[in-house]
Amino acid sequence: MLRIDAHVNLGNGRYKKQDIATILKGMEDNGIDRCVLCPVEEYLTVYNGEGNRMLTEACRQYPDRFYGFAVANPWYGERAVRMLREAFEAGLHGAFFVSSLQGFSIDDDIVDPLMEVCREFGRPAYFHTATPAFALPLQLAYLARRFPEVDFIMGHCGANDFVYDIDASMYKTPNLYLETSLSYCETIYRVVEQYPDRVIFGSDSPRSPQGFELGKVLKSTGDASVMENVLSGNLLRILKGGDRS
Amino acid sequence: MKGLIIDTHAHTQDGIGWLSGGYVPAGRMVEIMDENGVKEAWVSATTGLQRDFIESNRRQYEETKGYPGRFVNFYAANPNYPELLEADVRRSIEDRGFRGIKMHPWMTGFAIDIPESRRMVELAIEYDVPIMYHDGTPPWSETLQVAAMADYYPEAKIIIGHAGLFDAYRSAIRACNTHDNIWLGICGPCVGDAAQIIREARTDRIVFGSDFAASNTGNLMEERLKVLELACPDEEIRRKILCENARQLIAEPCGA
Repeated sequence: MLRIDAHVNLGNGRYKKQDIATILKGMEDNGIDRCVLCPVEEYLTVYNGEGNRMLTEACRQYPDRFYGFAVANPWYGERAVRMLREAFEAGLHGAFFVSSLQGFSIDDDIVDPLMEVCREFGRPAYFHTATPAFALPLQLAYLARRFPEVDFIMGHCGANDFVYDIDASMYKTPNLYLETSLSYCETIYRVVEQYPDRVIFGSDSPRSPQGFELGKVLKSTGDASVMENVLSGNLLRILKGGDRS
Repeated sequence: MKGLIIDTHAHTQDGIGWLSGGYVPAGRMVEIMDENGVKEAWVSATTGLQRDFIESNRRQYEETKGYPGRFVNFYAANPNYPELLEADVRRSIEDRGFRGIKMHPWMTGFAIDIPESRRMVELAIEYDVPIMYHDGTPPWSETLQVAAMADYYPEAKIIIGHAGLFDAYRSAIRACNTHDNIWLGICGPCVGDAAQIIREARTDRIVFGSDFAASNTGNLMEERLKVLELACPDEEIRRKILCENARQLIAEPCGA
């Protein structure tokens, strides 16, 4: 069964530090076949171009192991649009946002031009959630409803305080998916049962160990086909442009 | 450490009210504690955080009293009813052996820095029992709002129940290292954040909590113990967090 970790951090940041060798070693130890790489804090907020080049190089070196989700801070305006477009043209696979660090509310239309780029290239957009007041599940749901042709990933399932907003966010938002990292086991068990075709395994390594996060997901269901979807199938579907039939 | 662990942050569930989920008998809780090597759990009534707190606290007392040495009852306080609250806190501590007060401003619906809420800190000081707050949830349960109680009342024993929960662990570290009367509960932060707390905060002021029984199974206790194990490979420090530091707050449970 193919295993893909949808959230692994790359780079030497203020809080998170992880290089390619460490990521590959973790994948080997935990039986992970592929990872989605996301740049750490400084690249996410300020040095977007450098972050995207770091991802592009990693994906070029290990095309069978890594996907790269590009960064572009919407406060850069036209420059951000250009950077995201260049990143997708260079082969990166999606966009990655932590709006609480980048300084905008998910439902602020400042991000709309970047969503237009995602739509144009058929790329999904990952948003960190669970940090008030700028990164909330329902903000993401309303953004997702405005861009029905883009697939959105709700990072951390609204962990902790905002798990109560999952259902309202998923309601009438078929292009929204739930990523499991940092969520409590009970939340993961619930969403896998309720939304088996829309849950995606992720670890947020190194903030949480990949093996630990994988362990929670592996306990979530005894249904092999559901597990396969959570570990890889659901993500692969949206990486290929989605199937919202 | 198996069999010696003190879980400072757990709940009883009577199955009444949406927060409580299903009914978890105390006997079942003890079985799960035994499976995880937990000697005693400091519990507050989930239903009491939202509904009839007087009845919920009484029910918790009745539920746990058959297991001496396994549970320490914390009073689930609702400062929205000051005319009823103080007398019942006194009755619970004096007659029923409650050894702490639990405050959940977000769920219960009050601001931490109001006189009715601060009165609970004063009672905790009077009876020399710890007072634990849910934290990490704005706008009414922010970590530094809890720290402010430690600032006002240096003689109080304040437990920051989630050490910042999802986003505020840096505030929890700052609070713990600023005030001598704050303890941090590793109960919610992920492995990486917990590791940073343990590296940077006073390790004699960190305790373990699971939020156990705030769900229908023992999964949460197992998960939280694993988080601590991964965050704290040093066995000596882990022993302090799991078994020893909590004794600064409550020397021994009733009936031990």
